[in-house]
Amino acid sequence: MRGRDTYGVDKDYVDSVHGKVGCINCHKGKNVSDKDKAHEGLVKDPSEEDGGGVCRQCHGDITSTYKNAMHYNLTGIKDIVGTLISPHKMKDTLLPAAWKLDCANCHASCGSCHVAWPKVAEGGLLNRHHFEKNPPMEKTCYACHGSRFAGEYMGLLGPSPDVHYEKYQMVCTDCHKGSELHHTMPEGVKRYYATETPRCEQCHADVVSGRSEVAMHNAHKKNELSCTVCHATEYFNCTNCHVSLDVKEAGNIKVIFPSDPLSTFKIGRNIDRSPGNPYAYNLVRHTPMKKDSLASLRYFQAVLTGKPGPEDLISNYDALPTWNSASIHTIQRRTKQNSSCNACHGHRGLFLTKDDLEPGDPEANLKVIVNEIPPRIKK
Amino acid sequence: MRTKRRTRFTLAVISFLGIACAFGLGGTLFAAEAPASSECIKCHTDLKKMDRYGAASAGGGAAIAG
Repeated sequence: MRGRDTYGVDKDYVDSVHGKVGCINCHKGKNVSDKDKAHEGLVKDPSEEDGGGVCRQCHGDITSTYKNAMHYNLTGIKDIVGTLISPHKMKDTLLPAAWKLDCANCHASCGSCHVAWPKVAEGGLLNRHHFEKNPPMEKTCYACHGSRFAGEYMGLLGPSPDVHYEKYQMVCTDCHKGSELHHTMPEGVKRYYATETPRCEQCHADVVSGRSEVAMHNAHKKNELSCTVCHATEYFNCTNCHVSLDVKEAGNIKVIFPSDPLSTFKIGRNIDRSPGNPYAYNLVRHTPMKKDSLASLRYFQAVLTGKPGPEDLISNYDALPTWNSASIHTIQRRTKQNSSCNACHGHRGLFLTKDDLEPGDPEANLKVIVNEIPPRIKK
Repeated sequence: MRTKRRTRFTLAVISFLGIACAFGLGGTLFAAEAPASSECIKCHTDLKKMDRYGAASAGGGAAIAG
């Protein structure tokens, strides 16, 4: 139960392999009865530093790759923000400070999956300090990814849970193994280029186009459609979230309310084809970003440093689309769009088109839209 | 002359082994004697006390990473 087990340590834990190491060896502090003195110099998360902290002493094989893994250093977000503000430099803005205050809460130390709730969920022990080799999905993965992937997967968002969860009770780590999660992401490499990304064909080898007993699978060329295009149901989407407070100058605070949650289904062109994501068409999801999303930073920078930040902070907004390939976790064997050829062919509403774009959207969105809707099949 | 050299060599080997053993043993002893945490355990395994504290301090979190 959340909140009940925040700092309580199981007596059995004390005699476990990790427990025998002793509290102070990892958390520092002092072995005295006075609470304040005991907590002097306490390190709340001793696994935090440099991708492993104290865990490095025994688990060097994992921490040596984890320090450069996506869940630890969030390179994907850094690269995107860096591209959007180019030619400005992060160091000349408040972004590094904002990163520490907010974005960095999403990064995961060893402890935030294996011992405690992630920082973004405000911590607390998972199971009386016992180390969980397989992190419990509903407390760890869901705590960070609940607003889309995990929420959809468990049926807490959208019309139905994913069949892998609903029918087979599969947990995240059944597909996303430790080797993937602890894997080093080479610098500048996007999420879908990760070499350890799980593929549906790893379990469903007999469904690949040309080798399948399903006529619809063979009717589409290999790598033409991602599996989700036919097998995902509607999914959660966002438009104006993260744009809740806009402060451009002192006394002029504009509050922008998040848009209503949208349940959508949009097929778009995949502009990031890679060995791990080779499909020409993917499902796409809107990234909650507007050109003036970070405008308030200019004001805060002026207040804090006496010098306002760049006026056009997101000066390279057109470079990246706000409709992006998404890994939808609402898989079903039978869906509306795969019920027949013409349940998809000729249905303009299923595809991301120019009509879905809004004024002020980045130009890069034009690369993602589908210009020609596949026509109805007569025979 | 040769005996002297052999003696010196033997002494050097014995000294080296002595130092290695001393440090090795010291290291083992040091590792075995981790700083005591008896006071931490006394308090933190009092689950009733900890739960009261936890219930008062734990707040809700937001899932935003997608």
